[in-house]
Amino acid sequence: MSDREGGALIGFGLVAMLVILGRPVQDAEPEADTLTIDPPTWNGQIGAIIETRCVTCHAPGRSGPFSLTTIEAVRNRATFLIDVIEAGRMPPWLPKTGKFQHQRVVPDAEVSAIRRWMAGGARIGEGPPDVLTAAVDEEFRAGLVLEMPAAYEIPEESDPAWHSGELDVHGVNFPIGNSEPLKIRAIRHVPAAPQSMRVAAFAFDTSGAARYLDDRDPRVGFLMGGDAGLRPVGADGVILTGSGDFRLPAGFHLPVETGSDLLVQFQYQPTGKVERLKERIELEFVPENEGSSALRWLPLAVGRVEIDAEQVATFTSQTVVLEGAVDLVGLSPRALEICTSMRVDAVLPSGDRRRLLNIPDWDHHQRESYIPVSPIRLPAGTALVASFDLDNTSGNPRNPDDPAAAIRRGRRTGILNVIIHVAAVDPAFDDDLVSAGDRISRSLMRR
Amino acid sequence: MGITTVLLAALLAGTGPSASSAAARYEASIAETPPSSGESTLPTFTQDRLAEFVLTDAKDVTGAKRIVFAADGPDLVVVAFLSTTCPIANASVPEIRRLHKGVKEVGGRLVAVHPMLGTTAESAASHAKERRLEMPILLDPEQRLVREFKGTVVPEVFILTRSGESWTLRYRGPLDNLYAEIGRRRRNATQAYAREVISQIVSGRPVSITRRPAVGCLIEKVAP
Ligand code: HEC
Repeated sequence: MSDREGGALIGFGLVAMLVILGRPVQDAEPEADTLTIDPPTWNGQIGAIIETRCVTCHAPGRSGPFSLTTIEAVRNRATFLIDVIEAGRMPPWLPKTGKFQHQRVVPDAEVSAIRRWMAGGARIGEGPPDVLTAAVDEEFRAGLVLEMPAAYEIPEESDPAWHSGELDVHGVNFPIGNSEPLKIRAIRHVPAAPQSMRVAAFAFDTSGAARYLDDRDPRVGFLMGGDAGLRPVGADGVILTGSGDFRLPAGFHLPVETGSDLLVQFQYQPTGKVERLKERIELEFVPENEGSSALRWLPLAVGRVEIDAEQVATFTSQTVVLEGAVDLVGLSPRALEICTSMRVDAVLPSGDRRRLLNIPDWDHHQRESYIPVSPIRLPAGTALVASFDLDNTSGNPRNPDDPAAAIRRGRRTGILNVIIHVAAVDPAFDDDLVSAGDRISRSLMRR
Repeated sequence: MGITTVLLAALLAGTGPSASSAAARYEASIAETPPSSGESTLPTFTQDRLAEFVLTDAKDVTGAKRIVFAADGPDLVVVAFLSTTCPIANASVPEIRRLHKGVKEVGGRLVAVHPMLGTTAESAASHAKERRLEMPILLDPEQRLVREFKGTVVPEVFILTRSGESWTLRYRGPLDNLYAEIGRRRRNATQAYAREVISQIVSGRPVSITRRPAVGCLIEKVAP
């Protein structure tokens, strides 16, 4: 069965454009020669490797559970560090193909250098041992700062009775009340308790739905069982704590209509002690008189998920066919905890298939927006589809139900969803894109 | 194998069924249990050997030493190896508190022991205070105790009972099933393995599973 069959064809009006596809970028090879001097020393190479790969998160006040800024801290757990790197668990990075911003991988040559350093007596090298420093934050020109009015307390461990549907998430509506439209270039999330905060997902809202939910809940923010309105959280980006800012490449912006609110879904993980979340969100605008194209969101989503207990199954999203060319600027996946892997494919008019995202080991606590280092141009006629593998067996430790229970859920843009962030190449196609996200959402709700 | 009549007598004095009948039930159930269930080949330690483990009390400002397995102490001792920074050990803190309460209620003793390199009395004490760990917090900087028990990760608990002069390791493994692997965490644990073992011991039932693989942060070994 071809990917175009069976899925709804979402037409956006015809804009014929001839496009030359960019070639996929190859992963850069590590600079091997500097890493083979034996045995390596802390001041020579090892400190630098840990500083670039780990210390952005593993430093005081950051998201990592312990600091790795000193030679003792690394020596005292070196075997474990090597183990988790080799297991692909650290640094957190889910996609296995593609070239994205903030890509976090440790080249094999560096892992082997750390191993040889340990075997060679974990030597310091010349002089006193270097103390590593967390990279100073990327440059950020905050045009608007939004803060929670009070802290929201999360418990020391998850309470299964707490939420229905999504777990360990809390919604917060930040009113912006802008009197004119805004163009957002970047979003920064400053967590109050970085070790328990995992993911922040954003949606600018003009429907008032998020405000309504927030007003109705007596606490700071609200218990969030799903999306508010048609626009899914994540439609305007997703940040993994510690991974840096959500920043669009030059020439693109998130459009924010007059009188908007910013709805943020905070996903946390209890750390064994009560934590207070008092989050701050900063928005950076596109500089005046700098031209840029508006990003639109399209869901590649499964509208209804039905899976019996002890079953594994693959779900495929509706197919979205682009009737005009777009630049793909980002992908923001979201899936149930029992999702084990997912991918996004583009079938080009030529019939060629291009894998845009491949996540073989999904972890919903490590998700974020994936921004290709350069936007990917997709020609008119491209069909896009996402697929998700689910493991609803009791043997899957990530299954919140033990023993497994049947899942029957249909909800708006779905709980299996990769949002793609795209901009029309021809401005005439933008009008179609503007309404497309809502239209697809509505059609998913009817399923 | 020694049967823990002494322990049961101590634990059950004045509560529920009489000690002797509990012990009898225990003996009977052991007799019915096939050897593969594990209780027949459990590691044992002599009182003299274990009495050698005298560890520094992190909460005591004068650095007092504590005997973990005192000759005149209770016959049920639980050792929980912890760390101040391991996220898996820390996520288990609420369960450690529940286990501590359960062990205390039946007259046993639970101690937390820090085997990780670089743990100081100050860091262990402030960690215990911040996370409301009220049991004794002991340091094992030379990793003597953890080596004796062949422990490799934190968190892991070791549940021992004494009969006469001999201690038997009745269970070693994770507190519960919160983690299946590193990075594979259940939203909530659904099985409290260690507490279940305590209730099996107290009620005189055999311990059904005496050893499970612990999941956690690897203990870096002290340089020889
Ligand atoms: C983007 C932030 C980030 C980066 C970069 C990062 N870590 Fe982590 N690390 C974390 C977080 C968050 C946790 C806690 C995970 C949890 O509790 O589920 C963690 C946990 C760990 C653990 C404990 C085991 C576990 O998985 O819970 C080890 C070991 C570790 N990191 C090593 C490293 C090493 C080595 C590097 C560099 C090669 C690194 N980390 C880079 C965020 C990061």
